[in-house]
Amino acid sequence: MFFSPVRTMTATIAAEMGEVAQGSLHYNVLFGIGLILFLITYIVNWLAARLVGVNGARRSRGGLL
Amino acid sequence: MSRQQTSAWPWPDHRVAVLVFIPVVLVIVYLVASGIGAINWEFLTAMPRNGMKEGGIMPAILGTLILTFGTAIVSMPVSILAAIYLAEYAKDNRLTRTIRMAIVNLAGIPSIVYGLFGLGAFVLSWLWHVDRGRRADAGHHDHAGGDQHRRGGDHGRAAAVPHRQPQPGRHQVADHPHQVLPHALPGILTGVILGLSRAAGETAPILFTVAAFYLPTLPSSVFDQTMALPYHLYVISTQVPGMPLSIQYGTALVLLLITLTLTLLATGVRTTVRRRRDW
Repeated sequence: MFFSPVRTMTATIAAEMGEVAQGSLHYNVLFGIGLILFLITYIVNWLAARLVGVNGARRSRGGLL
Repeated sequence: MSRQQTSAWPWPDHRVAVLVFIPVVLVIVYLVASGIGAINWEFLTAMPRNGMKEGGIMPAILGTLILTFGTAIVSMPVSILAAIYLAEYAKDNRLTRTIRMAIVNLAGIPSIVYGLFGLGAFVLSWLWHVDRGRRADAGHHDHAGGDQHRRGGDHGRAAAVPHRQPQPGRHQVADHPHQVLPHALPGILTGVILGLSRAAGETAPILFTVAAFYLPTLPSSVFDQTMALPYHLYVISTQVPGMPLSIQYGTALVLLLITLTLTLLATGVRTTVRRRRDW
């Protein structure tokens, strides 16, 4: 199982966007995958900010969060 | 992150650092060993011939340099000004917290999502309602988006400048432009160069926007498509049957050298300027 190939969301967008008809369901789904990827990023970053503390110690050291 | 900071980690730091270093060295050694044979003057300066299987990759190299330059023009003013604002002027309120959160997010978003954004916003929309053969400008904007993580770096650097006044008020840059900016400059430069290095190497943001696999002529305006090294490498390694391995590795090596040069330049700038200052 660990040696089986997988298909990632990013690869799906990259591989299929060049082939789809503009405005088709398939096309919209690819944008939907992009939206889901964005949400995942947002949630992970939000959790990280909660853990580190947006107003916490890092800020005073000059970090972004 | 100051240099004096000691790690709370129980392991000796340098050994862990070596672990990080090994994969980088392996990649470089492998690519140099496999690709150095393909590199000669013709490879770097000639147009491709015979379906890419002969000749050079000059248009792709040139395209990457043009894209990187365009990215710099679009993103540098915005990112540096935003960084100075956030580090020196912005109050801590909901708006600025949202901005910081957005910057961190932009750095983490998969680059293919920037590609989608560029496709939707610049290629297909009314903004650039032109045929799909003319997409270079979208590539620049797209890259500028993919480059946001640099803002984070800039901001951090600017904020890392120690405040000499006991209670620094706002408007510091305006009041003391000769104190704050020179001290922040090495950090800003480092951030800019690292950001451009990433922009030079990205494939996904240009995939649907500006990149073309083969063009018989060089691009002549910002609305033209261009060839670019990362995309070129992607196509010749996955889509072209019978592509000589030496050309694939040679292309990879050239791309690696460009990004590596930028990274080393950033390190050089940082160490040189650090050594010169007294704190």
